[in-house]
Amino acid sequence: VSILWEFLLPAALGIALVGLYAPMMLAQSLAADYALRLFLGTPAGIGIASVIHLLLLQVNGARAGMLVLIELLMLLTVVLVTVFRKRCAVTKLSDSILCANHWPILNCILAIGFVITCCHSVMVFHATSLAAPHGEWDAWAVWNMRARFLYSEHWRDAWSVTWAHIDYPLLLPSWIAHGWTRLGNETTALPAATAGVFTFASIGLLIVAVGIFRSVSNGLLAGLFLLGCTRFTYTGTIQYADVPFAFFFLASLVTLSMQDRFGEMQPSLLALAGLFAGMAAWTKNEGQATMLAIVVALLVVCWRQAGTQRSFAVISWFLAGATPFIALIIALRVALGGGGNWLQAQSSMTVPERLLDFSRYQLIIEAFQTKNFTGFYGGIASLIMLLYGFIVGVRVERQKLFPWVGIVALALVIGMVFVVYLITPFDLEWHLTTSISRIVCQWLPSILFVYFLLLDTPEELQRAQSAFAPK
Amino acid sequence: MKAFAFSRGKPAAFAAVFVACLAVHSEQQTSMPTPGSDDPISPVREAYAKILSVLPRSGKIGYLGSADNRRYFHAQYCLAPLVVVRGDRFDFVIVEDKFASRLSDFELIAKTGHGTSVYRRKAQ
Repeated sequence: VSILWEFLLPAALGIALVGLYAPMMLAQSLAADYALRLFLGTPAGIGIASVIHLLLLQVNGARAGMLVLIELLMLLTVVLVTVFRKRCAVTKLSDSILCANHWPILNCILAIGFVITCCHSVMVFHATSLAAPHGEWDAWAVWNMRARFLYSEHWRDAWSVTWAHIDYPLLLPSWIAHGWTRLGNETTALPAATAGVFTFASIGLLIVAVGIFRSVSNGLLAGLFLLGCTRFTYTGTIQYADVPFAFFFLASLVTLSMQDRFGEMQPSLLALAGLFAGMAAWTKNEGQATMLAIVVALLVVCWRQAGTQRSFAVISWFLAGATPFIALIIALRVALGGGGNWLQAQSSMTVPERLLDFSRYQLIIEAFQTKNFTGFYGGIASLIMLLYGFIVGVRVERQKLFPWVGIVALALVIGMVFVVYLITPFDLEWHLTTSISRIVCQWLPSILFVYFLLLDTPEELQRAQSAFAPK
Repeated sequence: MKAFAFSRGKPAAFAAVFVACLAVHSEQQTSMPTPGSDDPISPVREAYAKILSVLPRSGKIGYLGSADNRRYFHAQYCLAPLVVVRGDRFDFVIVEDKFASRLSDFELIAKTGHGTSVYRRKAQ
């Protein structure tokens, strides 16, 4: 109970912050709107709390009372500004993307399947957390260990442990240290609960977002499929940062896609998308490349659809949202005095030699194929999901900015990872074996979101059938 | 084109349910682990907790042991915020029992009971 209490204030702050950026209704129904804010806000609060903790460490050392006081003051300020802003201007939704519930039986079947699967998944999550309370290798050797330093008075010594990827960003370690400071002890339950929040918030956000844009059935199907990809939930359970990163990547794409629901540009939504991209970059180094990919995707898509001026305006607002986290990352880099061990590592082959070695291409493609179509990623369900897409068909006519931004961003991110594997100074087989399944986890919720945004729905097909049926 | 679309409503729903069943099945294939079954850290942490009182509260200490990094990494995780550095150039050194004979000018001050001991440099 005390662990849940620990999440309450940051979650309230995060939900209020999402309200500040998005005071307008984001969905047609109040329930969907509240659910979206809950799933976006709770992890956002974790991101903000991690920054507050780190800044307090710099100033005077983080104390539990001081953390609560600052968070309460921030919450109060954000709520007051949001109330004032709502009185000034409320933007109305300009579309009606949400499909009506034309097929309640289908939704009931999917909902029952989802509840059964989710309950089982929560039980497995709990059991795995008890089986490995410190998490797997990266969790204890990088994130939780750094959290132990940040929790102590000698937190600067964290960067003396040079083998522990000292260039990695600090969202998770600082948040865990924040929680331990407030709880007064180094309980392993906090990192486990944090992993749970991010894992199930990713699934919840995917369901609600696809539900808002397409239909309840497609949303539940996307959520079920993500739950069925046991590698995703397992990676969350073992407290790896890939799942929090996957959440922030998805949150950024979802918030960007909300842009399409309003007739005119919504700077605050773009800034919120930038904030989530910034949090992704503050979670893992891959997030910095992902943020760059989203910026390029926005630039290309907006420039094609609305011209140069509009595309620069969109990117400016997006980057404005990400600025606090970009500043933190730059500060960390400057303090460390350069790149990480990946950049400093040496190999017997030069970069051009590695690029021209075609056996490396083959190895990488094989690794992607093997990992994507094994049981870990839904197994045969992946193929049937593709078949489902073929049956329902594609529908993109109502989307303006999205899903193109998502498609281009994902393509760029996957391309960048491919190039990173090609030129990696480490042994390629080792690098692929130790990382590729985690890397795919980072994209999985976003891939599903974009995929389901492209698809039509059984409800729409049935409605069309009813409308044109002979009377 | 529309006529084709009309005939796809029900198969789509069946496909949705089928995918859902497969997803449920795939998820439920996951075995339920037993508490502590995959936890190499907790026993090591308990062992190091016994010797914390004889170590300094901060700064660097040495580590002497095998080339296999796993035990060294375990020590670093369990002893943080102490910084554990490979070698014996510090006043306090964690030593894997097999490597104790390599030390000179050090005295044993505590054993973890987990294959490692703490040595302190003898006063000159």
